[in-house]
Amino acid sequence: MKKNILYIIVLLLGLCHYSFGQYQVESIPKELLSRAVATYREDNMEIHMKSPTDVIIKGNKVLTIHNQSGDEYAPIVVFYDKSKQIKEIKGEILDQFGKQIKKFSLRDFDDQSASSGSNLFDDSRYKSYQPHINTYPYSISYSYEYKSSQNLAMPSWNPNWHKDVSVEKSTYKIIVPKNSKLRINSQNFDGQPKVEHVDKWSSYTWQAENLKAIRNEAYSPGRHITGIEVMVVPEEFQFYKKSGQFNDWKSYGLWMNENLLKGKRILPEATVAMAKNLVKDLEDPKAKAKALYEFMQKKTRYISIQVGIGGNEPFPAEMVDRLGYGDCKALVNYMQALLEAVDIPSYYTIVQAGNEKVDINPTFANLQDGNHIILCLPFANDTTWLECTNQDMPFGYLGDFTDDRLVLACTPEGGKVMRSKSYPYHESIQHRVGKFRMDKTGKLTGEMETTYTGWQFENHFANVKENRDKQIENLRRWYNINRIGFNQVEYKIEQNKKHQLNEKIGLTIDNYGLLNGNILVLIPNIFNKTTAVPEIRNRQEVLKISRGYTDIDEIEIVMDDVVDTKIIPAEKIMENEIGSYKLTTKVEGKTIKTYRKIEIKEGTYPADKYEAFVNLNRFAKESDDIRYNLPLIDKK
Amino acid sequence: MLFACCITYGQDAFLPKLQQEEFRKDHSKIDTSADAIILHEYGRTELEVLDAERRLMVVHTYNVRLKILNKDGDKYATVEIPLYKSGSTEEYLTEIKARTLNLENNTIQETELQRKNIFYEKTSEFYNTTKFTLPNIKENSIIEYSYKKYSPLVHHFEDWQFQGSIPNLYSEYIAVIPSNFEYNVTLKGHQPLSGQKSEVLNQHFLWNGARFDCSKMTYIMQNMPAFKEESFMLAPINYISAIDFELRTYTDPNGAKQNYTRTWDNIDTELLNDKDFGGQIKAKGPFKEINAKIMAEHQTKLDQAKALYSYLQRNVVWNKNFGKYAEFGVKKTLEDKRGNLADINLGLVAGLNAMDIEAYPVITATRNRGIPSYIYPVNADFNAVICLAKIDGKDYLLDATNKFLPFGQLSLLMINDRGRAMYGKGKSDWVPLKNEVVAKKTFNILANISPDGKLKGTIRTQLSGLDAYRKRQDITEYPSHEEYEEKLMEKTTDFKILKSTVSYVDSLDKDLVEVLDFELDLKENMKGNRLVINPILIERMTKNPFLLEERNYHVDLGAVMSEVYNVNIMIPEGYKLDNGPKNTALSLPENAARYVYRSAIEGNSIMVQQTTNLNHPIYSPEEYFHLKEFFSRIIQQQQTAFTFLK
Repeated sequence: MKKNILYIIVLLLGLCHYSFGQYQVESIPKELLSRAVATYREDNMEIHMKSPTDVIIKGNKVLTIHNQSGDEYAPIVVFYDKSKQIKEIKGEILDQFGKQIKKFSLRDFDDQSASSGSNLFDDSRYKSYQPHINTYPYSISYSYEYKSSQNLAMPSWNPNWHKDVSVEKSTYKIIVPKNSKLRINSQNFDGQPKVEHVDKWSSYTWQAENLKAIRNEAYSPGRHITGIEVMVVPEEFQFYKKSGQFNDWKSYGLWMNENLLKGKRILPEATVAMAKNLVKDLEDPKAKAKALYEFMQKKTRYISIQVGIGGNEPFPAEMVDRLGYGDCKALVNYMQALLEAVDIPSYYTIVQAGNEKVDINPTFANLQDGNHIILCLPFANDTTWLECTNQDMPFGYLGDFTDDRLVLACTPEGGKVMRSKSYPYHESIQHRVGKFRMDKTGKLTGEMETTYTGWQFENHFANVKENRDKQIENLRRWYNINRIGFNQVEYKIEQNKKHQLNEKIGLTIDNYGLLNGNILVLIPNIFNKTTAVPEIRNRQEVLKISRGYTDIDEIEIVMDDVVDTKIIPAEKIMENEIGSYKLTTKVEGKTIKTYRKIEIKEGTYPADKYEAFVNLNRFAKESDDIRYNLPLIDKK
Repeated sequence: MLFACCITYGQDAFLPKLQQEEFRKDHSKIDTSADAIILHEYGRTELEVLDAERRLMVVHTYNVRLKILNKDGDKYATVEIPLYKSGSTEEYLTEIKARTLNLENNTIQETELQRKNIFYEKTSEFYNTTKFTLPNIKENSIIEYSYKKYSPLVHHFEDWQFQGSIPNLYSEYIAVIPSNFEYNVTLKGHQPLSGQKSEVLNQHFLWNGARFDCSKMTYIMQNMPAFKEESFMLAPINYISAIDFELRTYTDPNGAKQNYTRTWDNIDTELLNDKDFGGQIKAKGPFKEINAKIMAEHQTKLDQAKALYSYLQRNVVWNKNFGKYAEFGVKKTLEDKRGNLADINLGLVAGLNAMDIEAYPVITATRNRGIPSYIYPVNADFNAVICLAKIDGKDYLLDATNKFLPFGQLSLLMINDRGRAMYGKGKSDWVPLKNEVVAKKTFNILANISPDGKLKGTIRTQLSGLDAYRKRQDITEYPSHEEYEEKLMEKTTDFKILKSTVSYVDSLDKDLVEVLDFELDLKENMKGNRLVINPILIERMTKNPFLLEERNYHVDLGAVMSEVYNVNIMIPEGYKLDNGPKNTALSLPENAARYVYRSAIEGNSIMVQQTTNLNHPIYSPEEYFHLKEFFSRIIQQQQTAFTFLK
């Protein structure tokens, strides 16, 4: 009997502990609440590599959601495929006192295919769970266990990846057999992992505590640069039934060549003959490559199909030749095969694509860097890059999707880190020259020619292939001025040393000059208006301008002779470390001439230079709208 | 040669013989913005009892031939067919065939889709997707594909859309309907049928040994333009030309009649007898405590109704699921404090009834769906339910799922022409869905210009109706007022915000009020002897929302709108008006919209009053161009500033 009572007491204690759970919201340190929409109370992961084909990944997370904006971090989403199995996920939702509201397990998860709009097929899938709680704050506490049959692409540790989520405690533990060699890359982490050797295992543990949330400031670098990251790659690995070893990018490239690319570039004889025939009258290898690239663009289209080795292996060239489609890997590989047929060497190149420039880590070889493939043509002093998934891109042009970043080229001698084509501000020019007449009703009529180079080449590039109605619809959006109309549109692409797009348009704007009683109001800078940069008080993060540019607008307006054009000439000039701005207006006879030039230089600047950036923008914005009240001359 | 033979007697007898001239014809002339065009589309649906499964199936045969006009059209060479599943009920495809035809050196080259390039995806719990993309696509390729779809969902006879995102030269649909089945057939959209015929197929349908005659109905539309979505319109399904089928009755071979006929009487009775609908609105028990409290605190019926509405808004979380049937039941919803749309709104009806306040459920279709059919009562048209309360002779439409909706207002998503109020069995009737409250913005600008060129003052913005609703949602996206204010300061570049004070975020029965303290350095605008000032300091219109050259459909704004500016700016001593915007009044015919700009200079103050009223929630395509011009003129008027000289 006595024993029973004791048992009950123990049980009650247990329950008590449960109902006043340890994850009360109140116990979060104050400094972790500032700017945080959510807080990781715990985020612990343990990766146990029992063998290259038997890896257990398990852990637990307790995440407190403070308010509605934090809800985006509430869903649990876990991807899986044939190399990763979800063994278990279970957890509970806690109220602000740490008391359980409800429980959930893997049964409550939705199961879905990972293929989305742009993916025709993807053999990976995901399971997801949405808590749907709208009383804040609340916490989600859960544990998970996955089993992986590969050990090459292991989850990395990024405890403070989201700027608006603070972290009370996060740990990352790797357990490997003693003697196994690990390569470790640690970024923005002060301190060393705790190393322990127990029985036949060695373990490495990283821990971070009390990481604050920070404000997301405009023009600041992403967390891939400023966040903590630890990535671990075993030297000997197993990946989708392929074993291997690499310890730097060079040997990684060799492994790629041998295991994923070899034997994939065999073309049917007829295609080889066709390729040879296509270039037989061309001398210059670059001209040959251009002809083959254009052939490839015409023949193929981009269809994403992700099957097989973790989505890392291209389909054979023969298949693309037969079907006329493929994903980035398959199309690059096909292009490479075509070039090979006419003895032009090229490199299959891994890049992290996206508008934000993200480098591959130059000193740490790993499989996870990069999400896209382009082709590098190593012409002497004229390295040329090809984007093979775009059917319209001119030969050798890389847009803002893959420009100016470190990439890995798989050369026959192994992997080689290179920088893709960059377009600095002084080469990324939008130059506009417009000649107009204004009649006495204020109607503006004339022509304008604009050239675009560098990354600005792409500004209106999409319009080139459109039909006229669609072109005008786009122009109406780009030049969104009340009552604008277009009567002529012409595009031309020039492709000499650099790519240049010429846009020639004819336009009218009714009532551009506003008649108000006996004056006509005129804003001589018509088309290029600075968009303001947000003012950020007490800026903390560095200023990152990833793409600089140069814009020049030269506008001439011949005024009707009933308008008095005796205006005061204006000159607005500002220059600082971020760039420069200049606007001048002057009159020659009946012509009002305006010259506007703005330069913004790309680069990373200390946080206190942000003000200079704001000032330059504000100055430009104010000057852009200079207006004149021109008296009408009473001619009777 | 044999090859050419195959082409001539192509795989699909349903499609006419493919002529070489189809490749040579310039189809892009038909619609220069089209990336592809359907040359011929054929569909046929009939009922079949499969021997193997001894199950009645809807069998839909689909055949299409389309031409890829340019490289952007290659997306039409990728086909994705969603297939519904639920337990043992599963749709499936058979006989998938597809091929690409290219004209090369005056011969038609054919590439067939291989079986291994067809993907079967288990997309989610409720559907699978069969996907494929055709090989060898070039500009000017013609593709053909066909399949048969088997569906056990007999009451979902395949609907057919004659119109899609690309032009369609010929679309033919055949529905073979056994004489023992009756369907309601609805033709939708504005395009006319170019052909229609009906014939009898004797003894065509075999069901458990019994044979039935069938009527074979053919519907043809030709030269259909592409459907292009425009802004400010309802769901495209309301405009697209299509034919829909709804099962009314069938008689099985044993003579037993299954009745799916829907009169409103049937639907009322069915819904009101359903435990997840009618069963819920009788639930009095769960409201005992709350109602007792409410009735003790509030005297009038209106206040009591408001209190209950507000209680549900604040305490019960909507799980974002729509539906007209309760998911958890009113009782459990009140206990767990979460439920679907029906749990909450049927709960509101129940709670009001329990207080002897007259209230009824109103079934509706949300704005992203088709307007419910007037002609045939179709239960499936309705995917949501709201509450109609009748208090002191006034009707209130209520949706308690959203915590920012004031009593008596609906969100835009809920406003889709009309709903059906369930007054009782056999007593349902249409109610128009609209917001009585005008979406109104009032700006009161009070400012002072100092002799050194600093403009300083306050802007008081008062919002009601949908405008207030949107702003409330926007504000609560931010974790705190400080962060909202900080972001607002960052975003606002026309002047400098010193402080924002927002009132009545949670008092839904009041207008939302925001007061901004601001300053602005006039700099260039106050130099020498000149002072230039544009009094429309905030939300000045610079871009016309109506940009189309051609408008085909109604402009649907969802609510009547009104915007008012009252401006009073004090300027320093000694300035005289040189030039300023003229007083203006614009209005559209029948007072559909009205704009007034009036100003006066009195002593040292500029006073401006500007009002813009859009008096209709819906405008016709003809009125579109009036609206476009109306806004152009407003933009022009707002560009003009006052100039003073010293």
